Amino acid sequence: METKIYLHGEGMKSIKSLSLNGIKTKKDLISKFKEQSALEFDDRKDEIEVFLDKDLEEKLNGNVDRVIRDKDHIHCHRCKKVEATVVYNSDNFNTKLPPNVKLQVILKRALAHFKIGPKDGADLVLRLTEQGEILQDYDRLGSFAKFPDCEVKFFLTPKRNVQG
Amino acid sequence: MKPDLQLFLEHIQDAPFLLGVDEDRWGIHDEENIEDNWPYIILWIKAPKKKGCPEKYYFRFDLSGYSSQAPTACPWEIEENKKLDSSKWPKGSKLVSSVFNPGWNNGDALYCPCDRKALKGHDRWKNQYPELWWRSDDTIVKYLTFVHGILNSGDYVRA
Repeated sequence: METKIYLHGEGMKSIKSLSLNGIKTKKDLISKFKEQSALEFDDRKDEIEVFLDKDLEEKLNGNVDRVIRDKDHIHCHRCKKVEATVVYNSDNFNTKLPPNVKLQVILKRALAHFKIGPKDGADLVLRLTEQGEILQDYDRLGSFAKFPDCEVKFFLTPKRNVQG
Repeated sequence: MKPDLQLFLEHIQDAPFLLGVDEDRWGIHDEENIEDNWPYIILWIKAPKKKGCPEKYYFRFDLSGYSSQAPTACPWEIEENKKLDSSKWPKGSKLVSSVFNPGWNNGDALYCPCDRKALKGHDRWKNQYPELWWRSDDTIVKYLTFVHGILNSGDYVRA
């Protein structure tokens, strides 16, 4: 059965489904990632890391087919860590995490920092601007950050009531 | 094959839709007969477990003209293949009841900026809710994500 993964990464606007047919090594995977990213990379100096989803810090070592399973999430990025700032009511929460971290983790930590309980927290979402698109829990931190800045600012905002 | 159907079939093979299926957030009912049923496709969206409430709500979508034209959807009674009785619509004090309003438009559609029927007469929503306003390059994931977010908000209390 064909193994397919979810690919996220630097310069990728949305996640992609990728078949691992013909992809044996980390180099093959990075090559596929570069095809999907909107960014230009310099092969001579850009070090792109492949982050697995199993553990925050875990990176791909060894052959792809021995480590990666069907429906795994893979994140490719030049940043080793990304500085995330969450703004809420003129207050800031800052944290530095690997780029493969889900926004769900950032959101949870921000809610804890701002002392917002689960009930109120269920109606709050992250956006890149105060009126922007709602970012999803499953999005990865690194998808919103670029090397060499390796930082991103989010706004913690309420889901909005649709009124006529 | 009709271009709207072709585009929909492409979009449901893309990662954002597939991830929603894998994570049990939504799915297509009667997936084998999409072509025969077109443009009326029934999708389900997961709701949180609450006593006496369904775990999934079904919606009958009219996807004619997709995606240049926004979808329109109403809650659906899957066993009897008809519009869901208003007494069984999702309820909440604010977010949920503003979108799930059976008193609006005869209960034929959801009251939201990504619904074709609701868009009409609400031009100011384009500036008020720009992230929800349907654009021709949007996919069905936009609509599903919005409704899933509403059902899984703290405001959803019951059916």
